[in-house]
Amino acid sequence: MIVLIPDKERHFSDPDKYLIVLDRSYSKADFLRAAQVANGSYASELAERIYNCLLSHATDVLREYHEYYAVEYPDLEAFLYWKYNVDHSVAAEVVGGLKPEDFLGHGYLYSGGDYVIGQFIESEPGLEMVSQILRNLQEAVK
Amino acid sequence: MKVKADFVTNSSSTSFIIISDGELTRKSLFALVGVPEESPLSPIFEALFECLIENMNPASEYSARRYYGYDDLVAFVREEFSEEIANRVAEAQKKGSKVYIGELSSEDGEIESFFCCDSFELGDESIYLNALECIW
Repeated sequence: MIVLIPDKERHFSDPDKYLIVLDRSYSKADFLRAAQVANGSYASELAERIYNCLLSHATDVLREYHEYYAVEYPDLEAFLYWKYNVDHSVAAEVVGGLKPEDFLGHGYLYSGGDYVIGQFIESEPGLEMVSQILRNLQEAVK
Repeated sequence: MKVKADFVTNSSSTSFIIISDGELTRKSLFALVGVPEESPLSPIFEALFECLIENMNPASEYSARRYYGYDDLVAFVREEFSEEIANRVAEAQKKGSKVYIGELSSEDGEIESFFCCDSFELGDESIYLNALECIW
């Protein structure tokens, strides 16, 4: 399952935060392959910046939950609600679709300081392009 | 009185310069940026191509229309861009290459706004695109 959930509908306290669900964690090389851009090109640089923005700084929520918070919260859904302020309906949808090997990331689009790329991902055409790269990941890598 | 209850931002425009031995085509731009048709990122460069075509002007017309007081195009480019680009333009004029100057606006759509804010310089054997001024 690959889902990118930016906070267009204000599901988080901060509108620039997002959740990302991938069927596993992917390297930057995987991401560039899925973006299908020429090595060393400007397009490749943009793809790398998108990866850095979305995945380099994202918190591995499942690892964090199981290692540190599982004893504190009744379940992952409650953890997402209380720790990350994720709306109940979104938390239920995400948790309901998770498989054990999935990667669940949480991040802030501007944590890496690349304002222009953050704006691009937040835009409607940008989000569609990024989502297509994420959809390609499974097919391009396997 | 109007009250805006959200972020209030300014708008801006940034300049780019293109030196080309031939016409700037969609195909040549895609090769320059390194994006094949099948890439999920190709739409952004499709939009960039449209923005460039719409906004690029022959340099002599652009400088004559927009700025006054420069001795020639090279002096204008030296002042508005840099010494290095002015030298490129002078060289291009000797060779008979085409020089274009244009602007990208933060107000004309999300993709143009992206390139208006991003700073980049690209070149191959036939095209040089300088958008290093595209930075806030």
